[in-house]
Amino acid sequence: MEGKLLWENRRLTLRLENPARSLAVIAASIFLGFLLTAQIQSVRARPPATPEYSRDLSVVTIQRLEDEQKSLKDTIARTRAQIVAQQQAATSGASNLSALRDELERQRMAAGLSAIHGPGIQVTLDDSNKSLPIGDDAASFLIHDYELRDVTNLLWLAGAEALAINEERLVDSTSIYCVGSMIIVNNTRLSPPYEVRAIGNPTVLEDVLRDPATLKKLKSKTKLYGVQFKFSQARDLTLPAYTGGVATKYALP
Amino acid sequence: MKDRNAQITLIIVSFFLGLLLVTQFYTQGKIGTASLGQSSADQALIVSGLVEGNAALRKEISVLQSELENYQRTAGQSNLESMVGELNRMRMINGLVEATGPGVEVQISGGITALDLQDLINEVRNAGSEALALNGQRMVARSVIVGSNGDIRLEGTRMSPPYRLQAMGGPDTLEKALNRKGGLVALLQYTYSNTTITVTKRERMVLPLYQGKYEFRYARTTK
Repeated sequence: MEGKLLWENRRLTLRLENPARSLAVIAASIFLGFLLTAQIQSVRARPPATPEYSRDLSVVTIQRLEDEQKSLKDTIARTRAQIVAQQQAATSGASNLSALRDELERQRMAAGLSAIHGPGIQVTLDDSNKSLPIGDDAASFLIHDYELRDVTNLLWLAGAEALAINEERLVDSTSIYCVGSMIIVNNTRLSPPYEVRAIGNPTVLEDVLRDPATLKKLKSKTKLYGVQFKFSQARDLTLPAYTGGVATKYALP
Repeated sequence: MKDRNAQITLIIVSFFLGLLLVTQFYTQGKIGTASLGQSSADQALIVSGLVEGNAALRKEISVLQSELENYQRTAGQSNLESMVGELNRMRMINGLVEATGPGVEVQISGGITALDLQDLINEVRNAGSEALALNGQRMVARSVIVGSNGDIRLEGTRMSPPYRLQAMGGPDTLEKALNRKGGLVALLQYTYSNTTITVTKRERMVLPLYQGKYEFRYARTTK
């Protein structure tokens, strides 16, 4: 391609030797730029998890409140661990109290108040990585709260002994719901990918997920929109303790 | 030399033009979806949820701290008492004890799918219920309603309409949260037009204890 960039009559002009060929090269370059950017850009339909710097007061407030929430939950976890340590120390010598201590440990485990580990299954759910076509509904490319409920309910029914999604242990008071496109579990906002961990019989748990009769809509979404849904058996998973409040205000024995 | 520069300049400019065009398209897409969940109504909901939640967490911390101080200060008999007290509280949380208190009752006069009923349970938990029972059967975390074609089952028990969902907690808070415009109760009432769904406040309810067995054959406490 040959041409001259000239400044004439106070205007920048390009005089091309071979206009047709030059135009072809220009078009090709534009197209190349287009393609390359389309490849590099992986458009997430969900708004970013951590709000970028913004003057929006609400966004800053939410960030501050969430930082506070994290710190309060850490304090709860720490204090509960200290109480358990005190109980261990207080009952270490007394064999007659070991039954009480064991029962207390079992009940704590059932209430989700102890970190636990064991074999089971690990499930990963994530939004589609595919670029959102212009005009298409973003909803089909995202994981929704009801899909997380479908997966966790299925695992409970299959005999899971304990469940967690990311750092949130599922307990009696747990709800999984959404505000806008944000998923909230135990009053805590979760960001994708969503890791559901279940402790129980790994084969039984995997079979129920693999069964074509279960989670049909979710499975078809993975094919149609590239929504991600993976699972695998695990030898030893760790589930965190629930760090919310358990003191009941209304329910009394 | 000039011609070569012109060539290169042209290619680079075209390349960036392509880049710009794509960015323009995708920014449009992003702006469209960025508004998903960032509406001021949603943000207000999140803020209020966090404010209330953090207040509840602070209360829990003060309860735990006085418990800890109790252990640290005393020894012997009172430790035993504290542990028995905690055991009772744990059993209460796990539904192994009858629960008495105020709350609301959600009555559903006709058939509703197991999935919708389970979603209602989720909604009630979200509203802050402390204990739940469906048709007189206590529900805990792993209690999941199953069924199809109007026949539902809860942990082995077959149930049919009308359904009575009892939720223990602050009656005003629960009733307001459940009956809110655009909430699940409103949506279900609209979907099941031949069925009546009502939320009634109750001053005192007694929920039976959970009949299931907690078994931990795979899970172990991490030490």
